[in-house]
Amino acid sequence: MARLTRRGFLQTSAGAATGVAAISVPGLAMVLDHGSAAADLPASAGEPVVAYIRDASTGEVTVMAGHNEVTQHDPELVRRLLKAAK
Amino acid sequence: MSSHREAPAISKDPVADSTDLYAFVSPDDPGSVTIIANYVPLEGPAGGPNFYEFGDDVLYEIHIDNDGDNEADITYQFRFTTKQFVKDTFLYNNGQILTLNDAHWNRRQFYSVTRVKNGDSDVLASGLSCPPCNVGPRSIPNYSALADAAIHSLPGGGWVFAGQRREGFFVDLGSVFDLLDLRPIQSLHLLGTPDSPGVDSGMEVNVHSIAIKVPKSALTHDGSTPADQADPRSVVGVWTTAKRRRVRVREEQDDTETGPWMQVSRLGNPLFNEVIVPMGDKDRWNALPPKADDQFAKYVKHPEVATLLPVLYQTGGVTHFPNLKTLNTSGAERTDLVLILLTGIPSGPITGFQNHTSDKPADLLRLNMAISPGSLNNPLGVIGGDLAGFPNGRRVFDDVVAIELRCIAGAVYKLIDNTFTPDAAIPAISDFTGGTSVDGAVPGSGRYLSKFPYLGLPLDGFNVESEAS
Repeated sequence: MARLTRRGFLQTSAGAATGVAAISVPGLAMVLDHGSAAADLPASAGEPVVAYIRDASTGEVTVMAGHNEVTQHDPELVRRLLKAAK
Repeated sequence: MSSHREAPAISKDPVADSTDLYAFVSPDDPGSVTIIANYVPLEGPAGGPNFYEFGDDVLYEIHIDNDGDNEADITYQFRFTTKQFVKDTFLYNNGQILTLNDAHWNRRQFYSVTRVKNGDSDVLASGLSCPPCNVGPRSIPNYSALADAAIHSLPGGGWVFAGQRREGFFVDLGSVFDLLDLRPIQSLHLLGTPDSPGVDSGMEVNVHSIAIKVPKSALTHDGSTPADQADPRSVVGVWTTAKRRRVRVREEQDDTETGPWMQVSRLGNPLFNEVIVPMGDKDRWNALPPKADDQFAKYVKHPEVATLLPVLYQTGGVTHFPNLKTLNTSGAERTDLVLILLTGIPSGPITGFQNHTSDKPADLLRLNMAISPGSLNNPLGVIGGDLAGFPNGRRVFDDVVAIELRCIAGAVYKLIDNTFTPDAAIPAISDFTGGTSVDGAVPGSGRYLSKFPYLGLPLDGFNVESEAS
């Protein structure tokens, strides 16, 4: 599991990072229709889920739900999230 | 100050900014240990209408290492919940607050205490009331009674308090950060001016304290009650952390937070991150656990302040710290400071005392619980001949600024090298006239209490200037 740096965390907290997408559980399910990170996260209905892409060129996405996070290498998911953000 | 605004990132987040950590054998209940973790630096007592409070979005933790591996064996966690009862007023209170559930008190905080031992969590208490901030005598005519009512018992014989108290740490902040120009000895400074009394920067401010008192046996590895100071089981290492969720998404109201807890503040020994760790590493230090402190040991072995003292204190080109200057020039590592701050002092150098936990460096506040609190109450602690004071834990009235400055200047280096002679100027190092402490820095005065939670009642917003003067 990749760790974010303190500075990265602050940027994320400030909402300044360009790769942050806050989406609801149904929204994530729609995006993650390949079944990947969400399956490993104990997100309950109505709980926010956040996907964080530090650098789109790496194809890595960190998904956070509750007190958990999962980092996956999923270039296709990264591509679709970026597309959704436009 | 001790750890007030000590690092760039956390200085912008006062609710999570740990300012001081105290750990000592309770003087009026010597079978117990009291640990106090302070947050929210430099509270102006009149700071309304949104008076100071703990963060609902912060996980506050006090950690105990009781087996010398620099990892937490016991953690006390504190979580706060704020409730606003009357929404159509701008006032903190719309009448007098006479009880902890007074209907005139609009914005109240409650908290839970959880003990985590070896990975198992046990909620010791929940729904505990904080006292209000000390608004003023018209709003709260009997603050002392309210504060006492906010001291809660815990299962197993413990006590807990969380709320506003008077700042216990004393320092002449203006002098320390103005090129270390300590007023009582500023005639010796490179840019010398006549000596003058120190100015206590903590005199007119409050702080938010989390104080917990537990039986000594609740902290030891095997549940024993420490009786022999030489027994390794008598020593615990203590530190605090504050954590925030990894992600916060701004909303128009009620922000969203998710992800694991991220450490944003840490505190063990006073002044460690403030004056030992250089600015470029301070934020990273705050995010790391003590077991990662090996990478910061170089700053203890060759402290910047030790190089500054001989330069800043000189007259006519002659330094007042010649032996320290020679020690610096030799390149010798400051093993004395490593023992005090990073490993604990082993048996031997100081008769009747040890607080060693591990040879692996970690910034922990180390307390030998078998040492009686005694009656000396010397604010200079161990270097003043009082083994119950800093760096054997830390009491609320310990003069940690003078202690650490003198140690950095070489006051105890002779314990490592008996050929070393401490400079004659060392006993004069203090930011307050009199050499050791400020007025009122004694137990039982208004600034401190002789009973739990030991820090004095907070200054009230209406009378602060007259009370503090």
